[in-house]
Amino acid sequence: MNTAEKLSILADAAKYDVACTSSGSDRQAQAGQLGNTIAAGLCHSFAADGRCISLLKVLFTNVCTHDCAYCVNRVSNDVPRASFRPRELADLVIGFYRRNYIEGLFLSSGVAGSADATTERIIECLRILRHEYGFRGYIHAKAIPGTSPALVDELGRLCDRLSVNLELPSQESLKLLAPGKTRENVLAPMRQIHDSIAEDKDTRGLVRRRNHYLRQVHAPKREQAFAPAGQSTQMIIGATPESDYHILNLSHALYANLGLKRVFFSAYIPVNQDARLPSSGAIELDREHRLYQADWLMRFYGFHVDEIIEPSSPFLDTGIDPKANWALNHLECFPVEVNRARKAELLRVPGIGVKGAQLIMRARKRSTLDEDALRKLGIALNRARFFITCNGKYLGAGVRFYKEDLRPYLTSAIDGGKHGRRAVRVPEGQMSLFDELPLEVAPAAKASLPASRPVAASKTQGKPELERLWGGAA
Amino acid sequence: MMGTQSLIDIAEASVRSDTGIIWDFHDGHAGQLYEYEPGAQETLLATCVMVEDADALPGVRTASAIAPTHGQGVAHGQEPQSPRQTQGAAFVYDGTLEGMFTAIHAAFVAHDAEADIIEEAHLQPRLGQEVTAAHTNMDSALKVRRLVEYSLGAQAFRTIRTAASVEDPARGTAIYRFLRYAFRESGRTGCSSCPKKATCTRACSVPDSCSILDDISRPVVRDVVTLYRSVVNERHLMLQFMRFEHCEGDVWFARCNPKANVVPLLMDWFIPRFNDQKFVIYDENHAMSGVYDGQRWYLVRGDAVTPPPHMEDERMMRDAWKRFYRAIGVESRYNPELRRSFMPMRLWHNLPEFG
Repeated sequence: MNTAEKLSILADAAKYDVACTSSGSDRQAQAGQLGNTIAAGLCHSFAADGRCISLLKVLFTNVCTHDCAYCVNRVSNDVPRASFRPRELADLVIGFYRRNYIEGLFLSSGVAGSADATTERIIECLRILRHEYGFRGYIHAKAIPGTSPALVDELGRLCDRLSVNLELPSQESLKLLAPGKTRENVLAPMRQIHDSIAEDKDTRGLVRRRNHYLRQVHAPKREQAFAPAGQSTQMIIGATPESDYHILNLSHALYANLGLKRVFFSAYIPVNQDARLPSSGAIELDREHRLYQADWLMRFYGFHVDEIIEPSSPFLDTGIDPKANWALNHLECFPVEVNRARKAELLRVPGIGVKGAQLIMRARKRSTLDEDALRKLGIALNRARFFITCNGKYLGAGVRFYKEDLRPYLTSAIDGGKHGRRAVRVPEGQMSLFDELPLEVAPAAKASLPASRPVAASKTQGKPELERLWGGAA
Repeated sequence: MMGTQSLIDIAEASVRSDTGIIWDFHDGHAGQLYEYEPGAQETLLATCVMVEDADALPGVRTASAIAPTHGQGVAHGQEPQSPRQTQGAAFVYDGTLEGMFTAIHAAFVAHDAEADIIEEAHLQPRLGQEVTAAHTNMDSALKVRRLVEYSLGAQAFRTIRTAASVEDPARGTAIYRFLRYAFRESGRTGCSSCPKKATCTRACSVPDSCSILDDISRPVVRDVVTLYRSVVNERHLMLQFMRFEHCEGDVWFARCNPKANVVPLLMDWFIPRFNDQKFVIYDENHAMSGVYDGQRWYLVRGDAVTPPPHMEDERMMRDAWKRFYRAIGVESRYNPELRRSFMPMRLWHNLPEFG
């Protein structure tokens, strides 16, 4: 099998892993070595499904010993199997990079033999890239659950971002659908990555400041930082009955406890026939879109997860975006004066995003903004006008300032109703694929589905407990 | 038609000498512009004369000598000393950056507040409008540059220079109006109150909060900032979607078709990234090439370029990339409108994945 055929098979096998940004790491170029990275990332192409291609996204091998129900590469599927040789993959990466096709490499893998054996071959490939070819581009590696800590450490020194996939939002789902992966196998590398990143930053800070206690003892200076772009993870949405409330709280706990850079949501796409999985081919694209919007609110807009979603309505409304929903429920905070409000307050206005808030702050330093200037600034004034005043003038006159009256102006179907119109979509109003389960399901199958968890107010818990959300009876 | 190899051997080519720093980047890379035409004729599109070191130019007055001249007609609403000239004349330049600055200099000297700065190809004078041709003069262009850097800061000059790369016919006029406004306003903010003004080496980073370009609620500023952003966006599209081909002689050749003249801006990105490979970036729309030979880089303005034939591995790599592209899309999420909105179709003909 030549390289091009292997590439077809292994790229096809990797396409359901949605984590593919090349962001988070700033590495300057050096004379004599190839490449650099920028923190914002760069997309080099866009696939037919509209998603960006910025890295060479492949599996190292799609041979796998596990039998996860949702995965196209599971051992019980009959698909063509292939495996790269380390140097072959390294040459491919360099060839694509020099042609400006990619920013770097995204490398995941099935488990061929044992997790450690596969990881060693991955490390060999990355070592050739970094040390022999002097590659300074972006590398995102996925750590295999169950890898030994020494190998995870070595892997982290070679890549920019090191991630482990959670795959499913609760431990019960994991036990049901991916019996070969245990909770400890998945969480232990994540904790190790988090601790190593923190320790690495600390050490480098010490080396720079040189103010540690025994000055003649130098802190060890490593060649490369440990995973400078942090770690991320991925969850499949819609294969199992967890609610949006559960998923968003889990994301929040991951950000707070494990310092993740990003949580990716992937709408479940049926590739296997399996009794444990929903049988309809509907893809929950709207739900995925709203979850991403909620995730953005948590990361960039300063929202707390309790402001976005509540136990009483555990699913996000697909007809309105979460920020407008919050604004409608908290009309007492509005209107804000654009010439005087703090940035955090501006970010809460529907229609003003991060860029819009930055533009307003920049422009109002020089002159007071009037309505004409505000129009030209590039915010969505037809949404924002109900919630702001501009130099004392309220622009949303004509509509009563009540939730029911304002709501029609703020609801909008995603992308005008065209979002995912070619896919088989979940019908409007259906919250989850598990709503349609008949009541008289066979007792054995029913018992194996995760019971809906009694949701407690997380305000009383203090720091979110990862174990509570992604733990279980164990 | 010139081949890629001869672009690389440009040192021996017959070019006009005396090159200047218009396209220098503050990290040290300086590009030199050449006209590649063996029998260059004298036309209104004057060959670009650039000098290695602006301070060594004979007859260039220093910044302090420049300021009073410009201050007279412009600042504080004073009446100009000379008898009032006609307003609203058109100053015509040859389409180059240096030509635009020359025309701007001429308009300032003429104290014309409503002048139009138009390039020759787009000249459509109003009825009764006086038309003056501005012959490209490096002297004047550098004077304008030094004045902008002194009054508004080096960052502002870079913004204006970038904004001037756009193809919009109204760019000259927009920049001229902005400069008239900015020189008037800069007396009140920015460098005038800076404690280091006396010893300023023009390398200071004027903080963003003081920049005249932040006042985007004003139309004159907003026009320039819009032009600047459109060039920056076009440059970003080129960074994303330009593809190199491995050609004989170990030269990497890239072809692009941007809406704005962004090749000089691309060089400062690709040179650090590919610092050990010789490459040529050829802009089809503007007949401009950027050439890097491993040490220095050059801008070459000239006819269509034909690249040498490919190396053996090129076909294999392009084929592998096409296969990868087809394999990576998820069919059940097929969304061509989303793809088109991120990747405009006008760029597709230079992308191997659609070849």
